Amino acid sequence: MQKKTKLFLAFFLLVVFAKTGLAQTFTKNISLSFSVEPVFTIQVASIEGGQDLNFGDLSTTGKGAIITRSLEVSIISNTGTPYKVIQQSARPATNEKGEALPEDSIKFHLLPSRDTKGRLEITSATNVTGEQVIFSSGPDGASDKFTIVYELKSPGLLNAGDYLTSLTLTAR
Amino acid sequence: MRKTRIFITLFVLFITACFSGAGFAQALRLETTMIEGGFDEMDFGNIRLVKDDGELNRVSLTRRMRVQVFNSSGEKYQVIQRVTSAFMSQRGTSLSSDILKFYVSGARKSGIMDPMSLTPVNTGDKVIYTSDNSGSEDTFFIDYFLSLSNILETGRYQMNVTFILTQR
Repeated sequence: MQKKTKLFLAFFLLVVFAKTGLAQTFTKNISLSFSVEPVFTIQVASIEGGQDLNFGDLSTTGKGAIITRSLEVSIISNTGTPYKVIQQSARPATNEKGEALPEDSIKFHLLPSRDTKGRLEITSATNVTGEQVIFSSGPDGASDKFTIVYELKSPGLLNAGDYLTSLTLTAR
Repeated sequence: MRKTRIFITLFVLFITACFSGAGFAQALRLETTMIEGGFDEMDFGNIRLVKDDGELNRVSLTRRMRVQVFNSSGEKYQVIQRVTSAFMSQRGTSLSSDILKFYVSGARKSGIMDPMSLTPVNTGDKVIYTSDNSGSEDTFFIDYFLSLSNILETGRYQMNVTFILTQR
């Protein structure tokens, strides 16, 4: 064989052995995924139980007596959008005859929970009236919790009846 | 003329040897199939983390993947699971590796599977299958368990897993 042919053969064998000695590998990529749906909800619960605030029988309390009831408010949000909580009172508490409690009979203020992150807008006793912004979330719109304390100051002698009103709490 | 024939023969053999990498790819190969459908994507779907009554919805979901290894080399091999990062949201929030666990099961041959009980999918390399010494082809399953018990920001979460099939 010619020198060139021998060289070529040697190089060929080198390539073959080198290839044979290599560890073979094969790779495959997999993507794992899931989606979380948006959640934006508000929950209220009376600390005394249920969703109603019942101040009880005022006929047994003297004028000026203060009765307190509390609501725990939870906002669950994963949207990342800042929000506010608004309290709406359509009318003062009235009995079956339409007789109303004095407007300043019911006042409220907010207390932080252990892990409140947003801003409480009303922290001193304030009349319950109309539409009031009571809470503002942080810029990240995180889930939050706080407590609303309602104080009923007994106005003294009242006409008999069940005095009712309704409050709406909205997060938006 | 004879020299030319020898030269051409050697040249053809040389070219074959140089490009035999394509042949290797076929000799050692891995295929994945999602039992719920598809080949390269495992989707746990849309998850609602709060029930209608406002209670937290604790979610546990399972997805199964079939892994088929083809090997004509007769050499022992391993399958490695490589994870470079945990689930991450589009906004860049990274989740704990504890929310995703897995185990390997159902090998038909005498290979060794690991883990065979629920184990977190941690970042890094993990040998999940080692074949017998003769590198028998095999099929096995990987079950992935996703558990969510906290409120997560809305959006899509994703992570990548690379399976590396390598000769020992």
